[in-house]
Amino acid sequence: MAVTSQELRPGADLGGTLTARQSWSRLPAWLRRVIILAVAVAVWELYVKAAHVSHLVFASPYAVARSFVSGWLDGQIAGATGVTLEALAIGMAIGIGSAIVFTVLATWTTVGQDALMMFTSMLNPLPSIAILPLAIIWFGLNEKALVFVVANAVVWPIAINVTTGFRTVNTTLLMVGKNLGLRGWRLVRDVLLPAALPYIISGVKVAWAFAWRTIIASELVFGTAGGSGGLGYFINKSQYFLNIPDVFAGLVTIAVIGIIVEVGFNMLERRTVIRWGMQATS
Amino acid sequence: MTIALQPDLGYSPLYIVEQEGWLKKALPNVNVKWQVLNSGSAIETGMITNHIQVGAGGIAPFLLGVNKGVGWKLLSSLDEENLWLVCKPNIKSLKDITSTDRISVVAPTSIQAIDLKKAAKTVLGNPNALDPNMVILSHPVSYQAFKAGRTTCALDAPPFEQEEVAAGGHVVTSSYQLFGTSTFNSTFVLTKYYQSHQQELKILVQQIKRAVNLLNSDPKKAATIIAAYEKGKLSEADALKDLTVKGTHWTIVPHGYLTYAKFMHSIGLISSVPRSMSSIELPTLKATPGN
Amino acid sequence: MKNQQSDVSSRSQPDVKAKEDGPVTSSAPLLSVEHVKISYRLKNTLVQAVDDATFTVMPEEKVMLIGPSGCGKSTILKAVAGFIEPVSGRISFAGSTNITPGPDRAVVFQEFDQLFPWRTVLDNVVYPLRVTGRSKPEAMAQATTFIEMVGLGPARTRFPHQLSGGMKQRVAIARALALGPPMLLMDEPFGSLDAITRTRLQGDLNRLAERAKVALLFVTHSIDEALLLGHRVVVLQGAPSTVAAVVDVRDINGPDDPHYRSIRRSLEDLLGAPGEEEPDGGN
Ligand SMILES: Nc1ncnc2c1ncn2[C@@H]1O[C@H](COP(=O)(O)OP(=O)(O)OP(=O)(O)O)[C@@H](O)[C@H]1O
Ligand SMILES: [Mg+2]
Repeated sequence: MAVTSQELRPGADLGGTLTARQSWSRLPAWLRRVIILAVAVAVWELYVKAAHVSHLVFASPYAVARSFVSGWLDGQIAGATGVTLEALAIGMAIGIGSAIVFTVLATWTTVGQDALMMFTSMLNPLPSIAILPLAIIWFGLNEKALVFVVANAVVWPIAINVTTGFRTVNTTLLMVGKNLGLRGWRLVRDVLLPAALPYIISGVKVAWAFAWRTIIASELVFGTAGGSGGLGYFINKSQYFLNIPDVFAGLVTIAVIGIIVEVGFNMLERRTVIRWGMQATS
Repeated sequence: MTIALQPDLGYSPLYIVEQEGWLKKALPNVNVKWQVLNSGSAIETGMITNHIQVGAGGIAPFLLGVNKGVGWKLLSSLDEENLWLVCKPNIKSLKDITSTDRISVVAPTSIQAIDLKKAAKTVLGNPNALDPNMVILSHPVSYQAFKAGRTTCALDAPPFEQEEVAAGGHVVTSSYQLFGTSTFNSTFVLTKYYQSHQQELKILVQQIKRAVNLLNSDPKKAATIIAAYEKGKLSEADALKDLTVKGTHWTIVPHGYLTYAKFMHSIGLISSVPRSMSSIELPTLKATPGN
Repeated sequence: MKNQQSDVSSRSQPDVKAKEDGPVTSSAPLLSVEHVKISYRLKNTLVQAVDDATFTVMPEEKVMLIGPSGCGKSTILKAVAGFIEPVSGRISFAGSTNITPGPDRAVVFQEFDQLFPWRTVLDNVVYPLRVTGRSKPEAMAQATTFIEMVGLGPARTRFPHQLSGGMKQRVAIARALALGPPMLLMDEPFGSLDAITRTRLQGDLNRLAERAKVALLFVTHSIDEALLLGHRVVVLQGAPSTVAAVVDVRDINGPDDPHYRSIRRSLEDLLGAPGEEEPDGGN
């Protein structure tokens, strides 16, 4: 656990004249990002205009924005996003549930720990998408296969992180909890879980990143059903139909969701582990 | 000149041209590269970005590209094949399909996908009625999935459809039944490229024609060449069986393009129907215009 | 080594009083530690930390545990708190030999990281009170009083990572004191404080113990601190340790006391000075 302090930014507020670098770093972070994004979009638009790239290869930001808006308005992207997020949510829920079972077994029994170690070292390095063919054989050509693949992507990073979190909980804190007469679930809820929170959050973060990549990749490969395909399928289909702006709009949607979730995690961390000076320093 | 094709016996005329080195002999000064790509969409992208000069693919993606302004035209057709919708015995008609049933096609824009939409429109009154049941699987995977009972129906191509029937399926409808005899695969080039390479392309079409003639006149010899091309993955006997499947006809003359185009237009997949065949085919076909 | 049960050091000192003179001798001991031996399991070997510890703490009595670093003082405290089970011997507390952790022996640990990082200073003190059944307003009032007492009123909304080591230790002290247990177990609680704060808190602890009628088992390195706070001093020797002596110091009234120097000297001898652990000797 590291002691945090305010971000120390070299060059800021040291008095004297303001250099360009200083005035840039004085802008709020969000504004700096917006400016970078705006410049990137402008360069993109200019490139598309100046280089005469085929509209079948590369879409201009304007075309993408139009596709994005109309895709959300007519429900196409919204529907696809819904399908993806639903499978993702179910898969993550199952993955987290199984991770909890594994964690409990691994924290309180040596056999459980050994089993978890073995499974994790075997299955965690495997890109979850690699088991898609197996999942299809086991579950059929339906959403269940996707859910399974996502659950598999989620369960190992969470189980291993939370187990590590529990196993490395400061013994003094545990003694303090016991000294207050806390036992069983109360001790877990009031001491063990918050103490392991940095690991839990980083586990869920890693799991989310795995799950998100996995489901999009699976949908790209697997295509699922045309009428109820997710974002990956939307992109794939748009590419087949040479609707390149739609391909980009799908990618933008993926990026935006990624950013929203990232911001959510940041907020959660700022309100918890960072505020408490507990964030794991890796 | 890079020529791209897909791993499917429907491209046999091109296999023969490559295997026999006919183009190399006819065009000794042209550096010809043959490239096998797994997806029609990859070939399409390669052509748009000018990495591939001659592409081969199905009728529907070609028409879609025309409509989207890819700027390509037909160089030659390769074959006509009857594509079967093979279903489990309990599916007597498409009306028996329920929401949990899966129907596999090779790509969302494949000729098979269009056939399925036509069947849905004819039988169920709505071309998109079967979209929720549609899954995208390559032919070999589709066959495996059908055999394993993961899918209820499969709409592939020879020889997979024959295997599917052998595995207990039955033919519910077929592309010839839905659209009449029509081209399966063809070759196409960007008009821009054609204008600067007319001579070479004319020679290429001659070689394709030669291969087509061989396939029609001496399938046994053709099978030997194909078996050699497949380097042991396919026996001569199997090749012969696959090349001479009933309903398959080798020809460089395109058929059925406008019929497909009209249907694709009617369900909103393309915004306009080509005015005439001559607007989508190159002069290489002028002697034997298609429809 | 001669293992004395006696209250007087082996080297007889004129200033050392017999424990029978104490004010609390009439009742039964609140805590009794009898021939306790404690080992830690390290991989496959046993590390013996305490060889033979015997002493008692009467209700309201303040007993100091003193001994060189690594001799097993914290270990004994943890055994009394119920975190470690002795290999042999017997511990009984309030008449029971079933020693499990509980708030009736509130502990102030030696380690700095004994506060819940996710709770503010105030919450760290309020939470134990709530857990042990105090109502919310009562817990708030109690917590505030003790936080003020350790001088952390202005820091009560801070999180532990925003405190210095000594401030954290003071919060832990406030937390234990606020619980008002029959017995306090404190492991070098003032070790990291500056001399002034230490003196003030020593005074506070003395007054509080008086008022709250709390028994105290207090680990220290400092002879002066032991003399200032203790009724009796348990001197540990060796590693694994044994009790070298139990010295009654309740009648010593501070450094001005005529007996102070001589009793201090005898304790130093017991601890095997000159190479004493803590040359500055507390305050
Ligand atoms: N968890 C543990 N595992 C193994 N050995 C331990 C453990 N804790 C303490 N010991 C050993 O037990 C002995 C006594 O340790 P203890 O912490 O009780 O000493 P102490 O008297 O409190 O020392 P200090 O004054 O430095 O705090 C030491 O030799 C130490 O190495
Ligand atoms: Mg200690």
